[in-house]
Order: sequence, then C-alpha cells, then structure tokens
Amino acid sequence: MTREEILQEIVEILSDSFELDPKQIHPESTLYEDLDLDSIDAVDIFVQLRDLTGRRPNPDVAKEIRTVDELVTFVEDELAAAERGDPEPEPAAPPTRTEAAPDDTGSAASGT
Amino acid sequence: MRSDRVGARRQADVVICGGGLAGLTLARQLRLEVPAAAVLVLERTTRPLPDACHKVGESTIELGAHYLAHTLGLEAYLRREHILKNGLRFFGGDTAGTFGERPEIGPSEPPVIPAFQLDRGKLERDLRAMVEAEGVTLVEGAMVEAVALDEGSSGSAAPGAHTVTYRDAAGASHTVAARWVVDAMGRRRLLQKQLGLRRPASNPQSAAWFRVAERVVPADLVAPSVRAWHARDVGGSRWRSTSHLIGRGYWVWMIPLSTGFTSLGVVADAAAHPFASFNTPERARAFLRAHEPALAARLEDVAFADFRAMPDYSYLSERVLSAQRWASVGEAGFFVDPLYSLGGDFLGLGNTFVAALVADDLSGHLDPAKVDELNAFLYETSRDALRTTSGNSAIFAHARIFAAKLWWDFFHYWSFFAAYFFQQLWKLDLREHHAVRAIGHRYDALNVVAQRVLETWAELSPERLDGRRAFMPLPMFPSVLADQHLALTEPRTPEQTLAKMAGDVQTAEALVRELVVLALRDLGPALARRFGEVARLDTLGFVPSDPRVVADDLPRRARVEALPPIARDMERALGRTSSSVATSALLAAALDGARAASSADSAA
Repeated sequence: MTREEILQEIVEILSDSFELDPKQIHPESTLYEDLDLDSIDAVDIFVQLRDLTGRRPNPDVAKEIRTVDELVTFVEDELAAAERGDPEPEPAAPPTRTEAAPDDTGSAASGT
Repeated sequence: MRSDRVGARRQADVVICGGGLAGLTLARQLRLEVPAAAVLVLERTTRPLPDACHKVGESTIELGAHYLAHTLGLEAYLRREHILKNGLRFFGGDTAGTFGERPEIGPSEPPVIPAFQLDRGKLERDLRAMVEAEGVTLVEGAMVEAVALDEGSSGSAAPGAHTVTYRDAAGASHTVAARWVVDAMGRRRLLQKQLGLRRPASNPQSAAWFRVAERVVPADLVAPSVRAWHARDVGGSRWRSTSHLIGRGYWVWMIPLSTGFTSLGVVADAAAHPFASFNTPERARAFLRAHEPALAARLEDVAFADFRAMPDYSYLSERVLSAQRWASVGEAGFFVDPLYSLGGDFLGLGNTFVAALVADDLSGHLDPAKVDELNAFLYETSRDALRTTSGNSAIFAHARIFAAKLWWDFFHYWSFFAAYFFQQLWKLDLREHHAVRAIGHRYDALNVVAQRVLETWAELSPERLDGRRAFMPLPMFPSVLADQHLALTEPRTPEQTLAKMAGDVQTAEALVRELVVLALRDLGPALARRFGEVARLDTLGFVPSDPRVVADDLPRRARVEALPPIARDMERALGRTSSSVATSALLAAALDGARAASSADSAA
C-alpha cells in the first residue's frame, strides 16, 4: 500500500466516522485542533486502523500521534511490521470510560 | 466423616437425583461450602462417558463461567482442559451472499472476564472423578423410580423425611432416606411433574443440534485472499467465540470444543420456519443449504457424529426451591433459551441458592421467607430472560438493529443479573434483597419497552442487506457498556453493589430512550409516524427528552459535547444514520402517530 492509498483510507475513516468533509482533511491537519476530535475519537480511529493493519496498536506510540500525516506513517510502519511478522504488543488492560475521557460528561442527560 | 454413613444407613443429608452437569456441580459445591452434609448422587449412566456426549450447553457466559471457575474452584482445570472462549459473535446481513461481506458483531479482543467452551462429555467424566475423590457417594447405573416427599411443614419435617427409590444396574430396588431431595435429572422434570408445577412458556422456538468430529470455524467460510476480513482477527482468537449466523426467524450456532469436535445447532421461530424443515439430519442440511449456503457447503462431506432435535424447548417454573427441603436444579427446573448461553448461568445461580439453603438448614436456621425470596428471584429473572430471547425473528434479519439489541441485552445482563452473582447479593438480608428485586422489577419493565422498540423497529425496517459497517465491535472499549463488564469483578460489598445498581437502572432508562432515537433516525420521515403508532410510543413512558433531541440536531462537535456518554457510545458502536430531517421532527411525527392510534382506540 502506498502512502497515497493509506491517506485515502484514513480520510475515508475520518470522514465516515466523524461527519467531516473529506476536502477539509489534509496530511498536515492536526487531529485535536484542526479536525476538532477528542481522546475517545482517537481510540476509535485506532480500533478502525486495526482492520487495515491487522495489528494491535502500541498505545505508547498511538498517543504521540498528532497529525493525519503521522497517522499515515503509523499505518505504513504497522504494515511493514506485519510483513516482517514482528510480535504484537499484548492486549493492554482496557481503560474505563471515565479514564479515557474524563471531561465527556454530556449535558443533555441533565437537561441543561 | 458423615458421608461414610451414606452406604451403611441408606440415608443422606442431600440426595441428588441425576449426576449430569447440574447434579455434579451441586455435589462439588456442597462439599466445598457445606462439608458437614452427606451427599449422595444417583446417576443413570455409567462410565466410561464419551467425549462430546449427547448434551447441549457447551457455551458459558460470565455468570456461569464465574460459577465454575471461582465458586467451584475449577479455573485452572477449565483453562487447561477446555477452551477459553472469545465472547459471542454474530454474522448477519445477506445470508446467501459472500460470507466475508456479512456484517460481523463481536469482541475485538479476548474478554477481560473469561468464559469457556465446555466439552460436556469430558467435563462430566472429570467431575464424576472429582466429586468421588471429595467424598461424595456417586451411584452409577441408578435409575430413580420415585421420590416420596414429606409434605409436612418445614418446621416439623424430620430430617430424612423424604425417600428416594431407585433401581441399581443389577435391577435391585433400593430406598434412601433424605433430608433434602434435589431433582437434577434434566428434562424428565420428575419433581416438577409430580407437583404439577410446570408452566408453559410462550416461546414457539425449536432447535436441532449436532456435532462433527472436526473443527469448523467462520474463517473456513472466507477465502484467505479476503485479507481485511482475516486481518480483523488481530489476536487470532475469533474461532474461540460462540459464532452465530443470524437470518430472518433463525440463528445457527458454531461452538469449538477442546476435544476437536464442533457443536452446531439450528434454532428457529415456528412462525418463520416450521420445525419439520430442520428436525432430521437430512432436513437440517437442506435448511442450511437454503439459508446458510456457505456453512452447508463446508459441511457437505462432513458426517454428523450425533443429532438431536427439540421442539418448543422453553419452559418455566414458579417454584424450584422449597422450604420443604426439595429443589429442582438445571433443566429439571426451567429452561429459557439457548441464545446467549444462559443455561449455565441459571444452573450456577440455582445451585448456589440450594447450597446456601442447605447450609442454613443444617445449622438450624432455614427461613421459609428466604426460600421464597430466592425462588422468586429465579422465577422473575427467568421470565425476564425469556422475554429477551423470544420475539427476535425480524431483528435477526437486521444486523445493525441486532447490534442495538445486544447493547441493551448486555447492559441489562452485566449491570443487574451478572452483577448480582459476582457480587453475591443473595447474602443480603431479606429487606435489602427485596430492594434488589425491586430494581429487578424496574429492569423487567424496561425490558418490555426495549424489546418492543427493537421489534417494531425491525418489523418496519425495509430489507437492507448491507450492515453499513463490516465490523461492529461489541463491547467497544472504552464505553459505558464495557464499564459494566469491567465492574463485575471490582471488589465491592453487597451493599455497595445495591447502591450502584440503583444508579445503573437510571442509565438503563437512558439507554432505552437512545433505542428510540436510533430507531427514529434509521426509519426516517417516511416511517417515523408509523413507528410511533405501532410501538405506541405515548404509552412507553421512555420518550427521549427535549434537551436530548435538541442536542441531537447540533453540529457534530457540539452534539458530542452535549450528548450523554451512553448516547455517544452507542453511536460510536452502531454508527449514525444521516437524516435530512431533524431528530426533533422525527420524534414529533412519531408522537403524532402514537396519539392518533390512541384516540382511534378510545373512539372505537
């Protein structure tokens, strides 16, 4: 898969999942500022990228990623690791909902 | 040792009629928890038992697995000798199309709280040796012919007032006196029939199942060249799941067994698929060719090692525990449905109640009110589970609606029923246990609404063969739903769990409102009014609030910030249907339809 093909896949995942206009998504777009995503969205992006890479992402690597271009590089590296048959990281203990998004409390439930 | 006298005096504190899974696990539990009790097990069959013997119920879920692994201390044995299960997995969508394109719903990682696939032949053979080594008297080749219950009041019944008569392998008749008699003889339901306690269950579903002597897994049905489908199975543990192939009016299970066999079964709703269309091996193959061609082709040259058909398999009972010192456990009491593998759960819960009551009795504190309380809990939860597992004919035809149902059913299961067992709530005093049941009644009422919303949504939904998403992870981590799974093993006192449940039932109410929102957006303006009319939205009592629907119509970022976490998590898992019409307008149309139906009713 070329970088261009990977970029197309990522743009499709982002636009489908987060109601973003594909034309707004560029390699230099930052996930949290330009695309206005949050920590829960980031978790979900990596869940979907597993389908592309066939590998469990390393959480330490994943949390450093800030831009679409870095996501492309991440997928490229993962595909190369899959090709080499590198061992996968063990499944990490999953975080609870509050640990993952401490601010995601919602307000419609309380009617405010 | 008290058990020594069983042979000599022909009496026992507990006589367990039936040494299958229910009877043997109860015997082991009594040795562990009530070591003073002399236990006699009477079992019709004799060793050696073959692998993959002719019994259904190989798949366990959290509660039943916790019972076997922790209550009975079998975790190391199960991990070594059976298969660590990777949750429940479902393949919906176009049943006649390419298998690899069918939407898949299931866990993406092995579960945090384990469950197991049991080879029943092997397990029961091993349990027989274990209970004998632990001091239980096990008589094989014993055919139970009669149970004479002392019907005296619980206070006056003398120990050993009941008698059990059985015929041994040589044909000689024996009578044993028993303080407690437990029927664990499965569907023969000796005590239930004798006491006239059987209740019909309105669940017109039937099943046929068979085993094959090789491993048959979903990956067999997808060409290796479909890389993305295989790549999705990151840990290589998809095959460990109980896989369900679902279609309108039926589902098919595939369960791997540690002895190399695979258990397969067809379950169908009588209204959609008559029992006669799958009740023999040839007909079952023809059924699969018609409805599940990929699996049928895989099985074409594979012999069935056995075959069993069971029409109208569900039955309930209003009493399986009695202060007169008898009990019916496992399938001798009631049987709900194979969907979700709840059989092992009810077996574990029932046995645990029996062990607690026998312990009370032998220490002189058997409280008839507590017997009735625990019995009522079993009846109410089995009735509620039956509601969950019946009436899903149309839902099976829509993968995304089925995934929404799983959200509700799993939340309900983990936050209430499973939590009850993991956190040992039967140990609460009677007043507090009443409070647990009261929460259970709120869940019952919510379940009626949730299932009606889901059924109506599915019945009105146009046939759509695409599932929208190839893979819907369930549970998705992290999420409000996954938190309920993780909370099962959190150390808490029963009192703390009771307090937690009171909060969770409110989240459950919010979840039901979310089902309404999902259904409305999915059905869209053309069907929203009809949905309100058919589901009688005005009478449900769980109409989404104004702030909730207003939030739904905000731009994405603002909406995510305004939505309650459960709404966002369901949307993350199930996707969001785009709609040109605002959710508030869809809800207004639905309420309009509901009101029109109500006034038409009152005019008539």
